[in-house]
Amino acid sequence: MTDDSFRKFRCWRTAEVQQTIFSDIGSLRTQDDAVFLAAHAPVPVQRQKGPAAQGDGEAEILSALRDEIGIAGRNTLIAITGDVGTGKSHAVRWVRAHLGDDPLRHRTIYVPRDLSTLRGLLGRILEGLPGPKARQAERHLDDAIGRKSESQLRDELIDNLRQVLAHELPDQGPGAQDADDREERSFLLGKREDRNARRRDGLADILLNLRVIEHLSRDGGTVAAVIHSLQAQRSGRDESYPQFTAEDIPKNSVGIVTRLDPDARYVWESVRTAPAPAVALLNEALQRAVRMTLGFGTGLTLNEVFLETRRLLRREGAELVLLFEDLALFGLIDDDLYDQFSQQPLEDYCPLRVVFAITTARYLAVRDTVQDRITHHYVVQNLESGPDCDADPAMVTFVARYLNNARVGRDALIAARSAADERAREAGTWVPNACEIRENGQPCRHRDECFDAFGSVSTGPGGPVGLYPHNQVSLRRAARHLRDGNRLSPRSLVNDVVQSFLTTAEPEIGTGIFPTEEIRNWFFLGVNRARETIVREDELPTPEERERLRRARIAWADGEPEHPGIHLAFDLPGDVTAAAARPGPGTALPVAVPARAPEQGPVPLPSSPGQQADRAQSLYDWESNVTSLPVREMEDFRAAFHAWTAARLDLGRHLMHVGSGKIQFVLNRIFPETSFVIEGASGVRPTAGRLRFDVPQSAAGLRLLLAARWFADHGHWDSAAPDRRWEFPADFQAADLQVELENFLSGCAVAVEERFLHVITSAGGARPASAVVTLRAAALRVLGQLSRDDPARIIAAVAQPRDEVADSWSPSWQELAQPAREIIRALETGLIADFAAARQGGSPDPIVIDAAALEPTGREAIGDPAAAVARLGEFPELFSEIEQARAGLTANWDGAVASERQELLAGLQFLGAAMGSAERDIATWADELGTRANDDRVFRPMGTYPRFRQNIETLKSHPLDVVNEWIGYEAAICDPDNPAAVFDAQSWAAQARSYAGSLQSVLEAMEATVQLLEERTARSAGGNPEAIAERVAGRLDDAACLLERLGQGDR
Amino acid sequence: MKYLAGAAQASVAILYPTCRWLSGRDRAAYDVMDAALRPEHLVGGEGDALLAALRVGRDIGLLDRLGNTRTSDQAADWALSEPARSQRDEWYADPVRFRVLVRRALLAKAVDDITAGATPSDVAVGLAWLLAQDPVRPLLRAYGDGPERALNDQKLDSYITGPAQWRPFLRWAVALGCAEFSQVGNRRLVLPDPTAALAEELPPIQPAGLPARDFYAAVTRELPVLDGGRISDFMRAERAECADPRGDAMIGPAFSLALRRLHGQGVIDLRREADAGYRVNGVLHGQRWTFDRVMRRGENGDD
Repeated sequence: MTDDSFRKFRCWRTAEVQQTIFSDIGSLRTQDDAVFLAAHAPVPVQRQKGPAAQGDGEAEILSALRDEIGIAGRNTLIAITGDVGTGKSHAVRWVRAHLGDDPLRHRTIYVPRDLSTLRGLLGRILEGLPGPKARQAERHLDDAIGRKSESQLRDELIDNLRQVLAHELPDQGPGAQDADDREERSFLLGKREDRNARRRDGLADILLNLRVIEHLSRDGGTVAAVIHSLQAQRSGRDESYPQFTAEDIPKNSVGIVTRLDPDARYVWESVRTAPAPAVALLNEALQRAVRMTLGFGTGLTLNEVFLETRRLLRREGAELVLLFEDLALFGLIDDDLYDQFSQQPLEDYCPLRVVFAITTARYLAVRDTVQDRITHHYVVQNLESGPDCDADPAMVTFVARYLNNARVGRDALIAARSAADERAREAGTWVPNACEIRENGQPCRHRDECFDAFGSVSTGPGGPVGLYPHNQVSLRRAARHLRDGNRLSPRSLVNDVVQSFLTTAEPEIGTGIFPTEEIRNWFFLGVNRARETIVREDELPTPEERERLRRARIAWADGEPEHPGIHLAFDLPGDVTAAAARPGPGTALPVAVPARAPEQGPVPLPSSPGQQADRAQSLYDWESNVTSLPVREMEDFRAAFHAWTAARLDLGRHLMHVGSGKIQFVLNRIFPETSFVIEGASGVRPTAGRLRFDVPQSAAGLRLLLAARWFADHGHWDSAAPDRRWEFPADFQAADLQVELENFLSGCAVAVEERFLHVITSAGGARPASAVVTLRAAALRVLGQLSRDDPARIIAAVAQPRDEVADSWSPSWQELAQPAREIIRALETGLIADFAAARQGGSPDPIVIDAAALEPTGREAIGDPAAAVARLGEFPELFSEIEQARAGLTANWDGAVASERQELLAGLQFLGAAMGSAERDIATWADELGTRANDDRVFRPMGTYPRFRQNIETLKSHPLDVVNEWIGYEAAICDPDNPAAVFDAQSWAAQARSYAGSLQSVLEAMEATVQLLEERTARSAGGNPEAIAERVAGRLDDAACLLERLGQGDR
Repeated sequence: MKYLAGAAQASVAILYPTCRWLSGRDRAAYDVMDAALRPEHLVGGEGDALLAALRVGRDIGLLDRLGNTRTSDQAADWALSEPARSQRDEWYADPVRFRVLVRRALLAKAVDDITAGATPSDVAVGLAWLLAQDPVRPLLRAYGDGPERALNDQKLDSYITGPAQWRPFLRWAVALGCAEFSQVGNRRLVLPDPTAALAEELPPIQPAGLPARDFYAAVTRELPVLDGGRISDFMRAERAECADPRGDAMIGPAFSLALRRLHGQGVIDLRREADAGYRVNGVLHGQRWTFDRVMRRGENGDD
């Protein structure tokens, strides 16, 4: 406390909390009864079995016990069962505290839970039992485990196990066993000649093996765990006692088999390969072996000690009362206890009056012979708390008692009880109320202010007790938190809500940081509204302060403005007076008032099948990080955001055909549903290259999801519509949410459009339609199917379907011609219309294309296809068909053009020379000569006449003026600055090549034929061949002239 | 001219490549234009939609038909009108800028018609009607699922009659930035929302801001289909008595939604001032709201 005011007030100290608040009654020492009784609240019980008795709760149990005392001839067994932490032990302890001592009528042995070792338990029982055997047993116990090392005890336990296996376990196993089971048991236990003999070649012999002993007694094994439970503190409550498992059987036989007798080896192999039956036998022997280890073996048993005690008490006319806070503690020795429970008094023994607590689960495991003898059975009722109701009054009272204990302190409680008379003790008036006496016997100076702010509750005759630093809301939220974790019980309340919370809150309140985020450990922090409506952004300057205030308002006021007293006590940030009257978040705009006075209140929510309650709650919980957003809801949001964004896309205005498979493919690649990532929800995240739209786990994210949910559920924004399926969140304006959702979706749509336009654009800035026009135009130019005269209708020409082009290119031109052919064959012209055409409505048919964008690229490709292709740049993988086409034409255009130029020129020059030297049509002249030569069987080369005929036909198929036209292009082609001439030439180059080839072949045939004729003539005429040749040549010329004239005459 | 009745196939989408192509030449014969815009092997069918777009373009003053007035549209030469020839690089570079040009031309023509005592275009009147609807309840896109009845009840069915006119009207509305499509379940919706149009017609705003009334006058002048604009007033005078979500406010829900969206986007800042005499009041979701001054925010949303 920094001043005398209520600010940062604390009425407890952490040290006192540690001494007065015990989460486990078992850890509360019996001498601290004052602490226990001061905090004790009635334990609600339901009687399941036995006659009714006076009183309620633990008082009824006490009455039932008292009613039984004095009834000879029968034992009394009172079982108190219930879930963990519900107060069973409290009930037993309360019975003990109120039973009172009456040595003439009964001896009481009280076994609390704070006895944490088996040895301690036994010692406590023996200590309460009269008679020499009990004393002897105490000495045995001390000798057995009090003075031995743990390793020695492990060996002793194994020895005792061996003894039990060799001698004591019956041949017949427990329960129903078939012939196979009996045979296996006999095989594993070993053979013996008679019941008194030791078994041989069985498990007992195997336990003699050093390797087996070492394994059994290893750290972490079952033997070690059993010995630990005898000597050391147990690690927790209601834990299971150790039992052997297959892990206790060595895995391999090294050092075992060779040291066993032959018959025992068979047993070992069986144990090693199928350990379960052997493990069961070990566990069957364990209890007896433990008792022997504790000193209750031969000669003296716990059962004998009990029986002697009961005989003695019988003679004294007294009874034995046993009170067990937790019967489950006994585990390994419970057989001895159960034997006593079953042993009726008859003539020799005093009656037993037993009250024991045990968890429901363990109670069911108590053997039938005991259960059948239970005379009374009470079930402790656990706390209940609905999600939205007020805190259970009993729970509030329960907590308030502990809060009071923390304030009063241990010493004061003990002193007060010591000073109280019996009446005060009975009435409970001895318990000091810190709120009434805190100021030297005077009420706390903050009492009224504190009660007003945090509330108070009557816990009994001491007057109202303040709930500070809790209040009804915080206690309800604490109970909800425990219930959600399936941990709601009185013990958890004490542990979490009182002890742990007070310990943490004390310094935090003192330093002005309370409540920190840590309160999430104690309170359910869900709220049915947005966090920003709890503390507005303009209410406090920093997010940390706003969060702190929000936490306080949620935990102590359900999100409403906190009581000014709470604000003051916790020294919360902000103006205390502002808290009470704060406007809703509303719009960022300055004014939003009703346009007209409503004629009637909002139409109540219909209770129709379509009604959905709490559609906003999961979103509030998500925002507050109370629960994550359910997967189904996350998926619904993603689907809705995706659909709405897609509906807003207007790719049509960019002349894209949204119905196209290609465009859908691109859209799906960049914009899947997973593009929407809701923070704090599960779900696949978008992979690289996909768009990502984040919905933050914040006030803004909440507004967005609320808006989306409302619109998805209704299709409108009318929050008062009679057909609404749930109430629009009162803290929000529908208009604000609509604005935010519309802006979010429009922003997403813009981003999708931008990304779409980006990914369909090549590195060179080209879009698919332009690229197709460019590539097809370039390819057609390469193939000679598009001339420089075509620009006016370039798009139509590019889109025109083309027949397969014959492969008749020069070798140097093949580098371009091959990919060009592939482009014409495979690159779809449909991409032009898909990516650059206007459509009408949903029709897939293009109406007009974007000629303004496409024609220039087509013209460029006609003029300089190499440059046009180079300018395209690389296309993304989404357009692999375009990229493949572009890559195909990314060749050495200059080299190909240069080579092709040379080849064309060579051909043209040959043609020019051949055609220029001839005075008449070579085809006709050669045709006649060749025909005559063939008739005279002098055509040479022999056997080539058919080809000669084909060549003649080729030559004749091209009019001379066409050939001359080709020859006329020579000058243009020759110009190295005019590559277009080479592309233009492709429209006739193949024919020219064919013509030149045929001409050359014809001339060669003629030359060979003439040469043959010359040789024959020379031989027949004699003389020198040169002279003869001259004559032949002269005749040929004559013949040629004649033919020419004839030809001219024909024409 | 009744665009929806006589030239239903016309649209901004068709006008865009058409005007783009014409912007690259002084004039062009229809045949040449048809061959270029509807090349063989890519575009089939008749050129009705192109002709319809040319006629609307001519009516709103974007296009000129050159030559003898008696010749048919197919026999005439076509060119961009003189005003449309300016700033070619701006208007025809992308579809968003182009729609501004079309919207201005279309609305200006309608205002001129009203001024001259003639009937404005059905599209213009339809837009005014659409923007007088309440975006609290988006319209169903199917004509028979609500729009038909609303138009009939308000005596505006002479402007938009039947689904064959309703569908192209919605295309105009969305293309001109006055509506958005949406869908909830199987219900296809159209939201009257002039945010895009308004964003494209914001008046110059000095650092000191613009008084609300001046801002209001400027945007209703540029977008006369908004509440208070000439076309909106004409539409309200034409239609029958009906519940008006605007009530007695100056600006109705759709206009309000657009302003609030721009405010939310950080494009503008709508502010209140004490005792301002130039206050503008609006209504949205049944709530009255006001603003007195409009500030322009920077790229990052700052003032």
